[in-house]
Amino acid sequence: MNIDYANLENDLVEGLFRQRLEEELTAGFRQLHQMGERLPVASHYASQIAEIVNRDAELGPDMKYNLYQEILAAVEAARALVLGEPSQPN
Amino acid sequence: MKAVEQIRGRAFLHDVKNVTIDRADLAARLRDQMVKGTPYSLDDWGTILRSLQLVDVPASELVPKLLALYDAQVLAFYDPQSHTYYSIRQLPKLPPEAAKLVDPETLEQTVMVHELTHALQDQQFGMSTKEQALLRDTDANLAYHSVLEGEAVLVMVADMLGKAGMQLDDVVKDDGMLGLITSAAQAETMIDPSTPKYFAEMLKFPYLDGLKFVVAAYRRGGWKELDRIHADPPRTTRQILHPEEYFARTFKPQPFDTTTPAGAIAAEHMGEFHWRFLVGAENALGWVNDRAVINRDGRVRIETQWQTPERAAAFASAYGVFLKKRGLDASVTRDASSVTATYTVKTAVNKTAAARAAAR
Repeated sequence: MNIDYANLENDLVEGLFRQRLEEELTAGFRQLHQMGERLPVASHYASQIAEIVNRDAELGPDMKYNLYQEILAAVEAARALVLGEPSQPN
Repeated sequence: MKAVEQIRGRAFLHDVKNVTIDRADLAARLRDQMVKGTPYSLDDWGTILRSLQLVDVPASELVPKLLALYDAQVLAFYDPQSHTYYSIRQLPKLPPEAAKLVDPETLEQTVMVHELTHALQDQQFGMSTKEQALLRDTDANLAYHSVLEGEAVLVMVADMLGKAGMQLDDVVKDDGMLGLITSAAQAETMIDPSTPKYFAEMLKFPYLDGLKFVVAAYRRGGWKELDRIHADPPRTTRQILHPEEYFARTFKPQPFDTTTPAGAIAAEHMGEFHWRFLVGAENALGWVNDRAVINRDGRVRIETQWQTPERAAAFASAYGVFLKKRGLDASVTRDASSVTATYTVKTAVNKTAAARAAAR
């Protein structure tokens, strides 16, 4: 996912960041799920994604917190959506 | 050192530094070890344990309680950070019934064999490096610690048997004899009943369940099997509790990300051991993975994964009841084989905020 660092704060507030991330994660999770792989817990992915985004962004503590919460919400939504679909183990 | 080398079939790479201290100095040394061996400040550690409902002890009493427990148990110890074997001049205060059974000289030699086994594990298998790498993964750390302690107990038992003219190989094959050894290792009488149950269980687990795991390994292939385990140690207490899954490779541990999210004190990996402690062995069966995030504002979010939806349902039901009994207004939701719980505990931060709001 390409992150627009210049507008990251705005995208977080308006929910665009969460929406785009959820779409990308849903596609990735679907692949894993269809291969019969178990999806790790949501906060496992969320903290890893937050770490990657934080590396290239200069965010204050409040915005870092909001970023993590938005990522967690996106991962949870994508995960719940995919887990509701039938898996096709090999 | 020779006795350990002969039993274990491995040689020390160099001498082991030995320092003798007075028991009066033990608490300070142990406190120092706790600080080095805990990835958080001791205050945060207390908050984490209380937030996860593992202990009820007030923050100010937590470390003194733990140090008191160790003071009553420790006869010597090996510090992997400084690669030093510390012997203590005086025995701890033993309960009268235990004191009658103990010959100080035999006890000292036995403990020395145990601690020198840790020194050998350090020199031969890089114990201190592995422990450091697992510092932020509680479940993996406890699993590895169980291998280390289980092996040290078995070497100690082999030494004692040898002195009595018996062979370890004959004893480990005999379930009855093995039962006697593990029950002797329990040493319930040595633990002060006022010790928080969680601390007592954390102390016993590596010795008892670690020993059972190591005996299962020894039965498979003697000390060579232990060498193989050191090359690829169990990464979760589920493997310690179910050795057959570890040896048959039927359970693949899931990855655990140790990153602490923004606004959180810690991300904890609890494992089957902790869930057994909280909701009982039956309801912790089928554990696959978990991640508990404890936030500074008192919010706790725990995600767990289970082998099947049925196991997840059993856990969700038991955990919901547990949290309710603890007086927590919790949300416990299940999605197929995943269970997520959220609740808020009172912390110093949110207590102050509540007091300010009430004063307005």
